[in-house]
Amino acid sequence: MKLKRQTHAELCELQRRTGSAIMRRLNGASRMQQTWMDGRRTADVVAEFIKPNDRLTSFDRIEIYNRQYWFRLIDCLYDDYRGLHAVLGQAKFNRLTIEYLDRYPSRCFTLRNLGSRIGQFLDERPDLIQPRAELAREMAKFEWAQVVAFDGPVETPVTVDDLLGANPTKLRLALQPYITLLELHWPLDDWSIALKNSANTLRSEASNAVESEAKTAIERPKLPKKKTVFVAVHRYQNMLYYKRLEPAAFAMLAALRDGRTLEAAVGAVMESNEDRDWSAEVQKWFANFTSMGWFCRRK
Amino acid sequence: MKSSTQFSIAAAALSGLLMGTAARAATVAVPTTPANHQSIQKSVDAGQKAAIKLADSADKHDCAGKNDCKGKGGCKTGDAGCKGKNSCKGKGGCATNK
Amino acid sequence: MPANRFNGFTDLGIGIGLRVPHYSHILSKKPTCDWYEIISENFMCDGGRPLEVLDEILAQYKVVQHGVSMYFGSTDPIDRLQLRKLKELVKRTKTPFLSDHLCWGSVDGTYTHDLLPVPYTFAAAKNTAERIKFVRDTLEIPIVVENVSSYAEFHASEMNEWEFLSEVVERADCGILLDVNNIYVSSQNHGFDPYDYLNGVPFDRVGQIHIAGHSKFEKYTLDTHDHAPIPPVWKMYAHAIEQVGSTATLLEWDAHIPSFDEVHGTALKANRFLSQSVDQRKTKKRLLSTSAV
Ligand SMILES: [Fe+2]
Repeated sequence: MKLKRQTHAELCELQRRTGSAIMRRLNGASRMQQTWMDGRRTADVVAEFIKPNDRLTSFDRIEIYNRQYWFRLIDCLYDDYRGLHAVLGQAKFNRLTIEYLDRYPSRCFTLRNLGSRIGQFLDERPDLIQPRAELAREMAKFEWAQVVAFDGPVETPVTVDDLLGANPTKLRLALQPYITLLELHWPLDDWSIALKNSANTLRSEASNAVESEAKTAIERPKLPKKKTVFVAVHRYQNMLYYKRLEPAAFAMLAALRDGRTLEAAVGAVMESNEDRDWSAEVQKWFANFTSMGWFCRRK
Repeated sequence: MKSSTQFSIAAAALSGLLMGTAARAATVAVPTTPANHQSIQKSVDAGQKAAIKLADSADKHDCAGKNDCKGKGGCKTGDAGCKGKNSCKGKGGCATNK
Repeated sequence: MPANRFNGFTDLGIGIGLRVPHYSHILSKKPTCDWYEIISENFMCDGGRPLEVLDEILAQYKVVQHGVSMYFGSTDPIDRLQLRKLKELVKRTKTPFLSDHLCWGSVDGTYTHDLLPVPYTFAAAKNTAERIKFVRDTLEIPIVVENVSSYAEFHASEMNEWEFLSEVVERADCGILLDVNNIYVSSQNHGFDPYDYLNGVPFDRVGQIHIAGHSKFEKYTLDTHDHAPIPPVWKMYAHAIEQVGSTATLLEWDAHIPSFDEVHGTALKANRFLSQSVDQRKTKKRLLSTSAV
């Protein structure tokens, strides 16, 4: 028994030191760095607070946690950004995730939000995603939209009572928060499906639902050719969907999302082609959108 | 001229909104049977279903320890960290672990 | 003590962790299973498929919530949003009690998402117990804390792990989720006798037991949950059951997850020890009543 007991302040300080060792970047060989932030040997620093045992030094023991930290979080980002991984290739993806976690370590209790700032980070660090910076940025947005569509919040959809007698010049609607509208310059929806299918074919089809591993290097589809598409990433009956939209429908939904009135949003349609008779088309679109519960009341 | 056309399209939009909302309300009210489930799905154009079912996505959280990266994206450079990942499966040891 | 105030006076039997690869089997085949343990954080979301699946499971099965991010041993302020979301989930699942780990994992608002060992000090015990009490009082539900597997120890420790566990649960007046595999893993890593640990646990506070598989490397043992428990862990489990009595037991399997039937079948091996415990208790009772006559 020690004479002097640890104080609460000392406990806080010990957790701080341990945390900085655990969350510090690994070296190029995925091991703990040999040199501490202040130039001392890491082994000497961690030996001050971690006990060695008969097989492992203090350095070895804290290194287990240091590696676990990075492996766990990089793996989690990979799960959410497989398309980005495919666009960049493994080496660049790894570098990106390490830089990202260093810049934006997790500040939330749930790993669900770990990759929430990847899009922002790619804007800040285009050097990490060259020469496919634009494609990578779009892929990241497309993939984060899927996380949101998967388990994002849902609001009560508008009801007939909300709409009866509504004046289109005043009516403002909101889009469900789980829906993301994206103008993409590559058909990433088709490509993502091809990518997932190619991965799935390499998984063993064992019965009774088992977790299986991709067996060999995945021969993934070639990168897509440029083509502008308008997509809503959403969920319907709790399944994830990519819905292609006509440019005019996209513009209209974006206008509604941004708070414009129904009539003003319709103006966005007319801008694309004044001569076309839009009424029947627009009616069909809206019937379809609302049958999926896409609109809710604006708060 | 433009504003009257615009208003008539807006009115069409509103009637579409009402149609869809009413149709949705009806499907919510009626218990789903395999037959009407199919007809509801047919009438809705949700787009392409993502290839992986939502239920098949991975759990984010567990309380297991990690000594490798199960995903293909983990591990810096994919060498040291992941080296031995396959080779250590089922052998009770991994070259990269002390 | 199968049912006690720490597990909401439940007697759940043998369960397994609810994991994604088994969803379709469970939902379509509705196999028999006494109960499932869910990782709370996987369902602390705002909508979508996870909650739909959960509701379907709740309609058919008993569910207990197990958390991985409350970090009772951290010194950061408790995240109110997290607590609010957890309370919403508790209301949804009606879990009879809630478990999380005797560990820390966040510092200055940054999360490691790992279960880190606490220095076994009186200051840490006080801090941990206060947080457990706060969470329990906020959620209005019994709490059991789980001993973790660890790979490192602190010079600062003022007692051993089981003394620390006892200190915390006595101070917080909470229960224990006894993970016998974690005791085994830590005993391998720190060189103590796992039975010294087991015998040092205040048995009357055990509300649930975990069993799991681990991986042995050349110089350390890792709690990987990627295969069935090994015989020494079953032996420890038998010993724990002898001491504690028939207690809700759960098998954790988180990686290389085999079929539902294999996981559930493995968990059911615990029955052997549970029924022995019941028999022993009956015999003991009979002997006592005979001697009284
Ligand atoms: Fe456990």
